[in-house]
Amino acid sequence: MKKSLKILSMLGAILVSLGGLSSCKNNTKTDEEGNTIVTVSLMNSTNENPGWLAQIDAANKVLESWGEKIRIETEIIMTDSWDTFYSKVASNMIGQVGGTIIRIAESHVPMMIENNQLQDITDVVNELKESGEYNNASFDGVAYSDSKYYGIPTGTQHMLLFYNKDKFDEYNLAHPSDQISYPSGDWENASTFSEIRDMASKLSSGEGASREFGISMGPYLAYAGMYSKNNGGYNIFDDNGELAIKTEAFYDVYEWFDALLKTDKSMPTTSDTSTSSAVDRFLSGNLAMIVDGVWQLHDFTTLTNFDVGVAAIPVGAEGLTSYTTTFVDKWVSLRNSRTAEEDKVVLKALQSAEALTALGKKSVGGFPIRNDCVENYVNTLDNGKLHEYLDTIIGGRETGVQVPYSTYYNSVDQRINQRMSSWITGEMTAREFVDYMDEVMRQGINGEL
Amino acid sequence: MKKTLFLIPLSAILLIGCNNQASEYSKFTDVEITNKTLSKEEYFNKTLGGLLGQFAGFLSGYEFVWDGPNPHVGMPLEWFEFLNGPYAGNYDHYFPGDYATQGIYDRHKLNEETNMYEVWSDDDYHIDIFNQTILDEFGSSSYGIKEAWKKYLVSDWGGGSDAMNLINRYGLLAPFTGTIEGGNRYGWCTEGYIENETLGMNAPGMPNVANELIDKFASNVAYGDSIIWAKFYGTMYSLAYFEDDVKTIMEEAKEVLPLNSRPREIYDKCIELYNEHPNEYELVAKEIALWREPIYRIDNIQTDPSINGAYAIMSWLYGNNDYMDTCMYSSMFGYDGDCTSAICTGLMGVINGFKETNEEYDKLNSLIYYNGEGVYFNDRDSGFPPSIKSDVYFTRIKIDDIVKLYQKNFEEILVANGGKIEGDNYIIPTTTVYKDHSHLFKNYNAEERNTDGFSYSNNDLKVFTEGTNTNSHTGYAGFELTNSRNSEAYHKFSDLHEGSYYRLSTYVKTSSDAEIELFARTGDDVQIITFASQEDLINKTFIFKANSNDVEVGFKFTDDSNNEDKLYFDDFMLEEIDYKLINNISDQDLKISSNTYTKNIKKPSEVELNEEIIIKIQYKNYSDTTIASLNRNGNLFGSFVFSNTSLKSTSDGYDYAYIPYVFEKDSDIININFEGKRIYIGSIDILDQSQFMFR
Repeated sequence: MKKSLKILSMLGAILVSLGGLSSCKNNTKTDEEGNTIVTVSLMNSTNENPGWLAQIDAANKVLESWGEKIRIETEIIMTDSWDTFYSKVASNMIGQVGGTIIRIAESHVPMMIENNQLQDITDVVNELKESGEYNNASFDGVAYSDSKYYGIPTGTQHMLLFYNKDKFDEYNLAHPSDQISYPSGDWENASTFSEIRDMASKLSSGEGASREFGISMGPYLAYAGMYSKNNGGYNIFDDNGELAIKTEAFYDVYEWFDALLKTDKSMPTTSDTSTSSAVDRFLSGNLAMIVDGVWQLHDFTTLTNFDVGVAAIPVGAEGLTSYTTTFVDKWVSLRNSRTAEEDKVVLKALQSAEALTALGKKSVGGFPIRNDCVENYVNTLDNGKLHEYLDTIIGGRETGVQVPYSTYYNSVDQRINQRMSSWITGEMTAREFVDYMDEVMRQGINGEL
Repeated sequence: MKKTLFLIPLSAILLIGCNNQASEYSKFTDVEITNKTLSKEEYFNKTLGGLLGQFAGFLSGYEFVWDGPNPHVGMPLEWFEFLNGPYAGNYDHYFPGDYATQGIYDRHKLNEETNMYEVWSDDDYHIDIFNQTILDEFGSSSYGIKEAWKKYLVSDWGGGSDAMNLINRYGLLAPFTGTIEGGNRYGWCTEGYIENETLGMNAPGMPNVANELIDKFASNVAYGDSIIWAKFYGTMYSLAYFEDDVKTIMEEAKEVLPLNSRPREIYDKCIELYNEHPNEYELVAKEIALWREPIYRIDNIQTDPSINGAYAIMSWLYGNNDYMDTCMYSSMFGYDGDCTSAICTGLMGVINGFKETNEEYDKLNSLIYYNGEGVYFNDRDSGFPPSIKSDVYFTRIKIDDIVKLYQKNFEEILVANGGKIEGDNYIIPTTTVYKDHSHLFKNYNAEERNTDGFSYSNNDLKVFTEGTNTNSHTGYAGFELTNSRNSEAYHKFSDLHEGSYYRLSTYVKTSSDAEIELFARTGDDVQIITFASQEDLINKTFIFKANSNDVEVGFKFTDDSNNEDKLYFDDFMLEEIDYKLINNISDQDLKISSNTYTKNIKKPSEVELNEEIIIKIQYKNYSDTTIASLNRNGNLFGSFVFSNTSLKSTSDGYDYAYIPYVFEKDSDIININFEGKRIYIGSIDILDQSQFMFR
């Protein structure tokens, strides 16, 4: 960055200046046919990128059919961490290199809006909404701020409980007098915490490096509200907007985790997953159940040599509705884009029926926001392994809860994760850890982090 | 083993001996020498202040704090507590993760037997302290450093860890241990400066001597800007014995930062930023964070030496000669804050000394020093990486004894460099700082995003941009030269001194079958080296003699390359160097050797047995980069790198290996081993050693 940066009086102005720099380095690319190249940056998600690349290929054909002199190129940033991806994007913005459109996690959008890193695309969103072809409610959420839109959903995704049916069957075969059922796929009658604990315990065996585990559920902030709500509590904040972490519903959830981790040792710790991730353990048959997102549907059904079942998220007690955390990642255009107007055209092409159909065919991206593409996506799920679970998968859309992402959320989440090992190693009790979560969240709310 | 004497480059001796008269070969005559007196007591007191300041900064500073995915910069100043930051076990504001859970992040622990707190080892100072053992027992040669590391077994992060592995595996010598090509994956990182800057306390008032030492020790673990920053800080430590104003010290020390280099740009921007915002701590913290640039292989943006350098400079500016304020700002600005604070507070300790009237005295004394009874603990067992592992190294040592070791080494260095010890005083031939001798033209690093500064034909040279350094070394851009038959690209330097020697340092990568000359050309006079098939980015250096003021320096594809072959290069950095041929050992043309090469070399009369010189060996290697071992009289002396110079045995190319060497006898038999390889060996010279800025 040899161009001298002006001394600025406030951070906002500093970030605004990044936009100004774009005119200094007019390095807009064109191809041999004179098309302006818009670069899209993607995280290196090996299971999802076939879908995103298919969507981009289809969008290029749409651009051509529209007569637009614009083409999309893709840049893969070699990380599977959203934080690292964001950090690289921020660095690229400083250096005026890399993609001007990115796919970014919902969790990072409020911070990017506050940092003035995103382009206002209200006109694009309004055009899509006015077409009547989209689920207009999906445009709301974290990308809508101060009456402006800064992002377009890439689709909606939610959490499910996946299980290895073969492991259940093997257990039942070996224990004729102690049969266990598969977890329930009914969102109104989901398996309870105690039932899941019992299953997980029975499906765990072995010691040390060869131990097989019953279940993995990340005890992270992003899912904490979901479990609390499934236990009759609140999704982080109560109906009056007051913080509701320090409540019995939360304490119960973390004591449940505590029992799985420490008492039963039926859930792998962060130390266990540092040697092999929970997903890898599930794929290899080391783990009987895992709570993960619909984005795993493709891998869990194609990379496994056992039958996979899909169930609803567990609940604290019978009669409670099962809720599931919903994620809505975004396509965004960066604030200092060298191709700001072309980006808007590309964003529309990415939401075309052709592009979303191409994405859906790869079972990637979750449920499309374009109404006429949902059926196509569902059809791709209707393969041999998943056929009997379609209702469960689709049913999760009706009971979604959103993570209350905010400008301070990532910092809160990071602080809590840094302290998690203290709980897992026994330095803190589950209740103390919940109290710590509450304390950090309050610090975030009060701007004290 | 008999230790090698401290660095006394002939140039330095002649400079001093001739009372600022130029020797026939040294161009660096731009220093002034003034004898100054420093009492032994004052030296001890200032050095003690420096070491305690290193501990204090470390125990107060916040390291690698994140605010979500962004580095947390400009942290709340109310978090600051002198000697009670996270590394002192205070996690009120920041919990550092697993090491804290394991109880080993806290490096300030109470010894219940003595009822005194002890400072436990960390990379901010464990190598600084170990360097004193090396100087005392082995001297300052590359061989001595290697032998010391091998004997005492260094455990370290990053560049130090890789250097130790390379020493253990190959007996590799510095500077090869710090380089990409030698196999160090983290040489870009901070170890170069955080672990070696206190060598400035071995040469008070003699910054150029300090830099000779730093050049040797820092290049064992690092390359690039990390070493430039090490020299800047080391120069400041050296100057701080005779100057109380930190801003004056910085202004004098900035001479070591090459004009147009990133460290120098950072320095100048800090001064500008401070002048405009002398009271807006958070704003300048955030502004500096925006200056960051990618570096080849960097894996944590908070370890960027130059951004950390900016925070150090700004801490001294904001600290405004106040010890506590400097410690506070350097602890809280962000990034590698414990290291930055160790550097900054250590310097303030040298300036202030450790005096009862100082504001910081009571806490330092009651929590670390204990009126001379305070102890430093070499933690080799807890699992926290920085330590010296060998049982023959101390486990506990009094802080006073460390300072005494600094003093002992200083006294030897002083005498070796023309100073005197008279009663209770030292008479030190203090010098000003060598002026910058670099030639960094405006677009040397491609960051202008064009090809300005280079001549080429057929549109063969282009500039490329990238967000992750794959083909470039630093920043967002590099140069790409495509072959269309002997294609070349060069910069014409028009301000060189005829007869002087220059060293180009640049970063290169080629397509698989490319062979390229690096040339220095004046009309028909052409000096070259070559490199070939370099598919991973490496540093390439080229020493040549300027036979005119105007010299074209650049790259040219050889006849053996194919059309469309590629060369990527970045950071095309030239500096004028001291270069003295002491003796020619062999004039032979390149001759092929299989597996091994043996030669009897006589020690020149002007070279002492324990003095380090450079053996310059011409070679041609067409069998991939090779780590060759050099035996001296039948025993392993050390290893070095033979680069890949050529595509095939019939190619004309060659390069030179510059191997730091110490004679054991008046006539040594050297045996170079390259098992399974056939390498051509040509002329052999003995050179006086020299330091370089662009390692």
